[in-house]
Amino acid sequence: MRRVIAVSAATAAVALPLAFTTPAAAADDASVVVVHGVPDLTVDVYGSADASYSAEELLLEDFEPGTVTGAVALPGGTYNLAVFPAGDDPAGDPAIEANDVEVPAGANISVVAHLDEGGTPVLTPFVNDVSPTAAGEGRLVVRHTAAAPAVDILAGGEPVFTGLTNPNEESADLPAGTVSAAVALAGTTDPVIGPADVDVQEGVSTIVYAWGSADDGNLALAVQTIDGLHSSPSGVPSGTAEVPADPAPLALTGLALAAALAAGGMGLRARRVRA
Amino acid sequence: MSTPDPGRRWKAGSAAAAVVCAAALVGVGGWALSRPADTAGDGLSALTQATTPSTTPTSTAPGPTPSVRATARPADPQAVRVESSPPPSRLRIPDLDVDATVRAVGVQADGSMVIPAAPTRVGWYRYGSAPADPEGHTVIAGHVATIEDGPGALAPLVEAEEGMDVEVVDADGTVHRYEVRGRERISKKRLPTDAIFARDGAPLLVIVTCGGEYIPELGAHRDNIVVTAAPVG
Repeated sequence: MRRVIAVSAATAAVALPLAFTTPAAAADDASVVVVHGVPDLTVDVYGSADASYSAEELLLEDFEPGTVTGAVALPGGTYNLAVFPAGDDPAGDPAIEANDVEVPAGANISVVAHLDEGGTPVLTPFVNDVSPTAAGEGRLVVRHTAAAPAVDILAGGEPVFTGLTNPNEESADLPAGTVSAAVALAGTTDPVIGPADVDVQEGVSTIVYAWGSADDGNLALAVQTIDGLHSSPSGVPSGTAEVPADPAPLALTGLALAAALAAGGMGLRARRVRA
Repeated sequence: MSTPDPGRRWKAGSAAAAVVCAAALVGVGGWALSRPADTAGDGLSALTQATTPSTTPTSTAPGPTPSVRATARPADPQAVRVESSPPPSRLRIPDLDVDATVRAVGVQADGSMVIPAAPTRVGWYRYGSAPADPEGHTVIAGHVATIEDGPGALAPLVEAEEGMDVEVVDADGTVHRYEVRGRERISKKRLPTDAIFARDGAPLLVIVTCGGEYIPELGAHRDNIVVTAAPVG
């Protein structure tokens, strides 16, 4: 049957000190993306400033597993979020509930509906690192949001992040390119997910979620991207030698000098001959 | 006396030489006057014109309740792959006899833009905008000259003037036409890289090479020559 899971933000990944109980103007809204990683459950998502949910507070309708929303701008503040099976009355008990989720003004947050290690649906807010990436690089973030034990993340068959547990993340800035990513149980190199080609675009944070359930054999990857993190190249070093000088002015100056000497010389000669 | 007065002949010769001297001096003066100024057209001001701040197209919630609707999209790795615009393959500035092969380049270990080693080729900054993109700056740069190969394809860039036609041909054959808006010589230390490499705002072609004083100890020029060209048609 339906279970009610309450996640307090204090214990979740959002632990920033800002807490606006009265949201300010839209000047510095937070950017929030919702990720659905609970298998076999199409849901409606509600957001509320209080403990009850109404039809007007519907954030997302018919939200399917393995999908990600676009970024939604929310005023900074504290929110209660609830997930109901699609079409259910929001006055009833939610399938998943997260109370007092702090959404700091200006923050970039991903709220993930997923299974915990034991297979219970939970909502976990992650604060996204949107600091600039170096020119030529992109950021790869991997989040363990699956009902599975600790895993290693393989890139090109080699472990790059090891011992990642639910609901944690690892990240690295890499030269832009395609990474053949796979997920294996910690200490092994036999993929339980993938390998799948993941584009690490320049100036973009590519966030890969491992979701689903190992027991049910439906582990999968979901990808969220955050763009606009790029930096400019530091300069344009476009010349290692001097352009050969134009010979025209030197030749003309020489000619003028020679002609001046000739004129002077011939003038003197003319005077002498006449004398 | 049938022989002409030799004094008169010398005098005529002297006058002729003086005329040659004057003509040569006029030539030098004309050459000096024909030197391109440090700035042409509107200089670099096109770089910052009509650049709109990039905002994610999201709805805003006026009240404390999140009365916004979000829409979802599939998130499997294949679904998020982005199609990029074709890279440029050729740059032409007919008035300056510039006709160069363009290849896509990235960044060097020190964070500066890669410039193709052969000065007859120019590089397009692959992480920035492409000519077919709806917004942002297409940046193309090339060596003004190298020790190994002499003058480069962009050596004449210093003579670019407002209104000159520029063509960029994409790898798929599409021809994009531009018109020079301005040119400026600017110290490399003050190069406005964020404005040059902007990925939002109105489309603009920015062509960069080196110029100004050559510093042999550094094997480099003190300045960059930057030309902006806006799309036409």
